[in-house]
Amino acid sequence: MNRDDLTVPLRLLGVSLVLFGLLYQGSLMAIGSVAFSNNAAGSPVYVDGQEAPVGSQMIGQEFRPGDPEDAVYFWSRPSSIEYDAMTSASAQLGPNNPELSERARGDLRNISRYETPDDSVPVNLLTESGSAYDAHISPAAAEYQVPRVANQTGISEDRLRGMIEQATKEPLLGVWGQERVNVLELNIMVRDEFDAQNAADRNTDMNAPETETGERR
Amino acid sequence: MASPPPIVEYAVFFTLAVVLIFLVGEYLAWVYRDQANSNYELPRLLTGLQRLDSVFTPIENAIYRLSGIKPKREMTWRGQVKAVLVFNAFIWVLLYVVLYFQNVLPMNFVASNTNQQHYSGENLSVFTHTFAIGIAMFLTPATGLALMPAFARAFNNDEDPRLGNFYENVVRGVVRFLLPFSFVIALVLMAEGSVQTITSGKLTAETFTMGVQNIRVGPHAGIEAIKMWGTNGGGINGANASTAFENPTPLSNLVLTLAMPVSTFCAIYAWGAWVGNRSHGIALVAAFFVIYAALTGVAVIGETGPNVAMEVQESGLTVDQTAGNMESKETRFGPTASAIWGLSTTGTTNGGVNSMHNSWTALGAFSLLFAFATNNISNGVGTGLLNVLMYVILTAFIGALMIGRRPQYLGKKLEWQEMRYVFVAILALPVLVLVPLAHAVVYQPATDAMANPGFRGFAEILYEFFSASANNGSGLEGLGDNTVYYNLVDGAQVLLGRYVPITVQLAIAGLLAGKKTSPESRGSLDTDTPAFVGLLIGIVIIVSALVFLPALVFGPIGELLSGGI
Repeated sequence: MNRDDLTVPLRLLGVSLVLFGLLYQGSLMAIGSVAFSNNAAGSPVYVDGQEAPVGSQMIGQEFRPGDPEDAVYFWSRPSSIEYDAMTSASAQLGPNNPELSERARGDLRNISRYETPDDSVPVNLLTESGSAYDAHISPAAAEYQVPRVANQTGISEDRLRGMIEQATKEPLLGVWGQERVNVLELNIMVRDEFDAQNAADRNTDMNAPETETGERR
Repeated sequence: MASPPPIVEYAVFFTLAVVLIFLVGEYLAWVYRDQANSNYELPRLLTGLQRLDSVFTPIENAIYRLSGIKPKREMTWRGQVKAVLVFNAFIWVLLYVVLYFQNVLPMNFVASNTNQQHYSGENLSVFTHTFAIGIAMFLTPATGLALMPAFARAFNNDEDPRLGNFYENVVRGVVRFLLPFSFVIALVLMAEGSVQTITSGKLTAETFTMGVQNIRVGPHAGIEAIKMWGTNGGGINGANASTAFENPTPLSNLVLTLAMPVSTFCAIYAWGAWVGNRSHGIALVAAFFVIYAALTGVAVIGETGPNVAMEVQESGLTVDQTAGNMESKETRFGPTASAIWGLSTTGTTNGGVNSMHNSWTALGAFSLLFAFATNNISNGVGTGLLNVLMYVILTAFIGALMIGRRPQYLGKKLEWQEMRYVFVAILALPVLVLVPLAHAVVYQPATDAMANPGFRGFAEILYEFFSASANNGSGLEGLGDNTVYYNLVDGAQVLLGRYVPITVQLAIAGLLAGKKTSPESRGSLDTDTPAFVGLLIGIVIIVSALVFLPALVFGPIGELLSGGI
């Protein structure tokens, strides 16, 4: 074997480390931090009154039918990893797996405790996403929850539909991808409105303390 | 604006794919015009590309100097095989060293353009992704690219065994093909919302209802781009491109899905340009594109249909499945775009996923496995062309014998030496998949790893072995595959499944290059006609169906016929 046969690939590997490890990733990072700084940092969402972000626009959060405290919010999709975004991936249950049917039954049971505009629940609300932290639900799944959220929060159904519209993203040029509703965005609006309502209620009530807002984790 | 119907998404995708395959194919043909020993000229429409020489040539010359590459030093097929093996061995060593110090079982990982991910991406540090996985994701597809012009020489050379310089081809492939396209794709991803940072490792949020949520961040955009363009698969997140940081929007999904067929089919198109007649390339693209589009259609039908496990009734409620099978699929993509991705990732050796294939319907899972059975239809970047040509040479051989002519392809006589190697290349996949499969189903530790019962469990192992042997790297991930058994078997499959075909393919190139080019006569079989395309499709389906039908019956076909029980 010629000496070149070994030194050439070794040197090429060294050049590659610099080219792909430093230059490629580094220049992307530089461009990202200048041109798309919010995206490159993970699209954090901030709300008034707390320093840390309330979440990422890209990453879903857990709002479950099984949890009574979540009843004032729009529910997100089921997640076997409870929306832990340090990991990813669904439980990958096959269509022949009894566990999948069992999970769907459990969710239907929880959903049936509240207002149900239709006996047929949109599949989006009962299926786990691939990443297991889908940030979105389908417009049908959001619409299905309007009567319940209206009842739980006292916000009018029309107002809630307006919020859904605001949180809805369209498919690309109408020909690729799906219409979808960002659950976190929607629930931030719901919470703001809910809090404002509570504050207004308390202001009319002379006995209530003036500035306290609902305590939430 | 409501969501588009499946047929619209299907039509949009395949139209764009055809246009891009033509454009990128011409570009790739131009990149390797001299290395393929061809008299290629750019079509008038694209002559502007020549100006890129002034950008790329200085970069390439700098890399040649730094690495000590002498482009003029040509290699025979033996020299090429040696270079491939040594170069790839060094890549393995680099990965091993870095991963070893990451305290991750360093048994079974990317090197052969595979990303047979048994680790979940999340177990690796940002450093590992940037300096080991990221490097391998460029160099292994570059290895595949470098072999194409060598194979084109087999037909362009007239009694000349020289096949060019492997390292020159690697460098050109990286500088002109992999880097620029990946860079553009990464920019699109970042604009759409992908994260790209190496600083903190995580984003901490204080949520309303679930307390603190930690969110992993890293160099997602850069890794994602090359992982898709280089048919690498895998990714920083275990759930790959179903996670929003790797694949944030429908637009990013469209770009990434197109990257898979375009990066592989463009080479098949370029083949025609190299051997002097574009119609040869178009014929091959047509044959494999028909299979790809048809299987994708089957998958779309399967996935837009209902999931049998969701046909339940409870407390007076049922499930409205008009939206299709949404289990393990993202809302923003929906069943159609997920099905198109699924067949694009198994129709190439990509292996990245944007939905979890294990939750697909029986019909969808069948089309995935059938795509595997044809050795991933268009296969990988570079190696795909070579694998496709094995089927083409076989078809030319059988076709000529059927009409009583002497078998030849593009003016080179096909004789027993070449055909022997062609059979090795074609039979490598079934041998590597079916023999271990027969063992695995009767071996307790292997069956214990199945996540689902019955037919689906069998399909999981079949998929796993296909995935490893055909250098795909995705999984019906339910299989708990990070066990000693699967690491050993798949490790062997990854190695043999890649380097055995490469070696025999280079041997074929060497044999053919040394032969005289005989002029096409009226008697020889035309290899760029619709009749040849039809015969080629038939051969591909018959070979894969004959070999794999029994296994498919025990898996998805059985599930389908039994109504998904």
